[in-house]
Amino acid sequence: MIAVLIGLLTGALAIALIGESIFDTYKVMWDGAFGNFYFLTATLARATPIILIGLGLALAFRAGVFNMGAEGQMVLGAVCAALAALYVPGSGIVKLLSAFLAGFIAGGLWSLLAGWMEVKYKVQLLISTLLLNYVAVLFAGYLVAEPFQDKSGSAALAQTPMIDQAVWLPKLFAGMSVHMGFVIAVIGAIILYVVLQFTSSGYEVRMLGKNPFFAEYGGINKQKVLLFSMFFSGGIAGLAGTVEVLGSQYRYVEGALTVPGYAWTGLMAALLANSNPLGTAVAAILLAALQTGAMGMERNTEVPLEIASVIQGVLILFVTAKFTLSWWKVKKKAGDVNGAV
Amino acid sequence: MELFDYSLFASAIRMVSPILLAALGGALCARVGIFNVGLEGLILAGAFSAIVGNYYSGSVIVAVLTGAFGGVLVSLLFGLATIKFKANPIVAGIAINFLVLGLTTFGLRAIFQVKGAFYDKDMNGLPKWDLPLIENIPVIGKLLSGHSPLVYTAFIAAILLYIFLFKTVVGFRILAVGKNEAAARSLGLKVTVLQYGAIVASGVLCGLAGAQLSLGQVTMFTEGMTAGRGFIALVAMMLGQSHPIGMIGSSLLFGLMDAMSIRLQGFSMPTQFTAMLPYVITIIAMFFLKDRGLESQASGQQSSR
Amino acid sequence: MIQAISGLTSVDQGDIRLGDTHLVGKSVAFRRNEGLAHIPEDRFLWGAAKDATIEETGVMGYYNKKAFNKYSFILKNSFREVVKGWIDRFEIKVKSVDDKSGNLSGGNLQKLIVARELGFETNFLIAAEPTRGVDIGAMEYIHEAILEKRNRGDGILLVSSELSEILLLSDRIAVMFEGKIVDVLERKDATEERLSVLMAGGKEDESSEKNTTTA
Repeated sequence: MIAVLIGLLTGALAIALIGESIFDTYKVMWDGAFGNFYFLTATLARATPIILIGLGLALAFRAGVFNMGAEGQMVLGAVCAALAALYVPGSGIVKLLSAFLAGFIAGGLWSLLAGWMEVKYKVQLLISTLLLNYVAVLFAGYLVAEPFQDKSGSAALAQTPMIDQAVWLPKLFAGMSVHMGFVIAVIGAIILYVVLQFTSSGYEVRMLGKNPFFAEYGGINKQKVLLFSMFFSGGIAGLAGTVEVLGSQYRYVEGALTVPGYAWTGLMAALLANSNPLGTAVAAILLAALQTGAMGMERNTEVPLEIASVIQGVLILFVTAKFTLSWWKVKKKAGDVNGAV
Repeated sequence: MELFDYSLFASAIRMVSPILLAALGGALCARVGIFNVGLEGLILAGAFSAIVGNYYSGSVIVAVLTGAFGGVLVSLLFGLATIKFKANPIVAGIAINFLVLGLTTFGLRAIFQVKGAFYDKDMNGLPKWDLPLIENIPVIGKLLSGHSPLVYTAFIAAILLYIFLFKTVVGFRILAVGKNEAAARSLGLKVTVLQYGAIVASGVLCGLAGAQLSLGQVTMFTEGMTAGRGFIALVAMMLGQSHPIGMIGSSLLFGLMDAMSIRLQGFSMPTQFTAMLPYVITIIAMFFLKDRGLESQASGQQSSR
Repeated sequence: MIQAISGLTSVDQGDIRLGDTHLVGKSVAFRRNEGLAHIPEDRFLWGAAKDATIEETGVMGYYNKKAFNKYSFILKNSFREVVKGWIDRFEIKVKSVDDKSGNLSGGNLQKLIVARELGFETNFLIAAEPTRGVDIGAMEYIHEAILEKRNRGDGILLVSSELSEILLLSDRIAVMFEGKIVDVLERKDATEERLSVLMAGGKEDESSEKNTTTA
């Protein structure tokens, strides 16, 4: 919590530098995020993909794997979902379900690829996932630039044609931007929490993360759990892209998912909440609020919206530093350095 | 227009330099056991500081120095968080990236009162040096001559770093720390000093990289102008196995791909595939270079699973 | 050798059998199912997860059993009773079952691990240095528990470098030197002196460990 305060303080400092009134500016930020119903729903809408990515990452982190490929998995999920929605024959429901399935599996398989490379060939996950991000984003970019481009309009845009209205995820409130995806995200958070805490698979994942030696000793099949975790982690990230396509954009647009930095914000949410699924959802909403609030600030004051990035960055920095500061104190007391953090 | 001609290679070399500089910085950190993901932020900080320095002093030399200084400041922040507070370097690095992105855009507004980009026609960029003898050599001359001093610095730095790491005592100490921090500490090596040193050095190098970006071709600062180059530098570092000479090669590869993809647009071959190539190559390379990489100690916490 | 038997390392040559079942090439889970339990040498590295709660460390190996698992949901309440039983029986000093395992003292953690592994009621138990770094009181509990298991007719492979412990607990003693078994003695034929000589290889070199097996 101190971290949040420091973050806000830094923001305050920056605002003062510009010469604006700190109090007014923060008030505008609050309004921008929660001020009226429109903005509130905008915040929730923005939070939707962030929550899902955060959940996927939370799962991976719990298993002890650093899945840095959320962005790529999300993008691939989005593209495949869009393509499924466009080209799978059948009624609206059939298209919808296949889009979800396609998005989940696409993200999951992409993530599984990195996982498989780690298990079979010892290619470090951290690096392979980072690299695969680029490949995925570029590939999706290719798909919408050439074969699947929307050629209907006069301008040649890097996006797919719009998907059929029957496949759209309904908005929760008329005229507001938040859609069914948000509900899905929240339900997902609850499910993930329950699975991790109360089921045997969840136990295996958590023990693998806490001490892989212990896990192996106890009979847990490390490789299987790792691969499953990667698959689901990527799948959930793929869902993030899917719900954006089906509920918000209604097509896959190049850059629509990467520019807002959903993946990195999701990462921060998971880290802030220490990979607790419920906490991650809350953190995601807070970070989204920070961002929409900042947009409100930009509209109404001279303060640029990047202040959100500043606050976010400082926040994360202090959170990781603080977490480990208390570790450090405990370690100094115990004097025992058995095992690494 | 042909695919391969001199200007292609010349621009490749020019585009390579920020990546190479940053990769060298990252490699130094990696060698000391810290996986510095914050290269992107460091470069951006350098780019911004360089422009600020240039604006207020009017001198390119001061600008370059300010650029390096900007990099150092941010790197100190990173170092503090990672070494003193034992924050997870990957998280800290990402945080730094966000932080610098916000701060520089903010600074753009605060100091220059502009949005998007700052350009001042009265500011001078880095001069182009025409190397007297070399420029007359038939083929290579056009390639090697006429670049900004920072471009040459990049390559020289790589060679210097190679000598430093592998031929000097301090260099060996750094390598030792990276291979096994606990053992190094027990031997009495000043691990913390070395780590801070590496981080500050990477700050300098990335700062210079940023200076090259904002002063090298067109003298201006654009929001987020690093555009992922910091991450590309990371990849170049991995592909080059954190070895200075190897990184010259990998950075050139990236630079070439970069330049080529612009050229290829004229051939209606999807640019995305050439852009993808370096990453794919790196992944394939990782199959063969598994444990010789230094990432093993720092970032490979999960690999042992 | 312990790693080979428990399944943590793979074996190139030879055979391992438990009763009639071949264990070579099979997973740790398989061996545990067949009736193998294992008290590891390094309790903090292999035997527990420091950040996990005591209950979570205790449930390893039990979470899949029908008694504690319904539709893959772990029945925490039922299992807690079991852990509390262990805490009582072995007088394990804990603040609460939800406390972190890393907060337990070495001896108390070892008692927890012993209780857990014994609780499986397997035919075969590997006990590697079970009382290393453990206080006297805990040591007594553990010795008592091991003898009790032996008295029920189960097989125990005790690996120890403590001669007094070996002589106290074993029915049959195998001495290893430089990775090979050099001799197998019946308890009645074994004395500290004889064992020491065998441990030293009958020559003037260092020895590795001594083993005991009970029938």
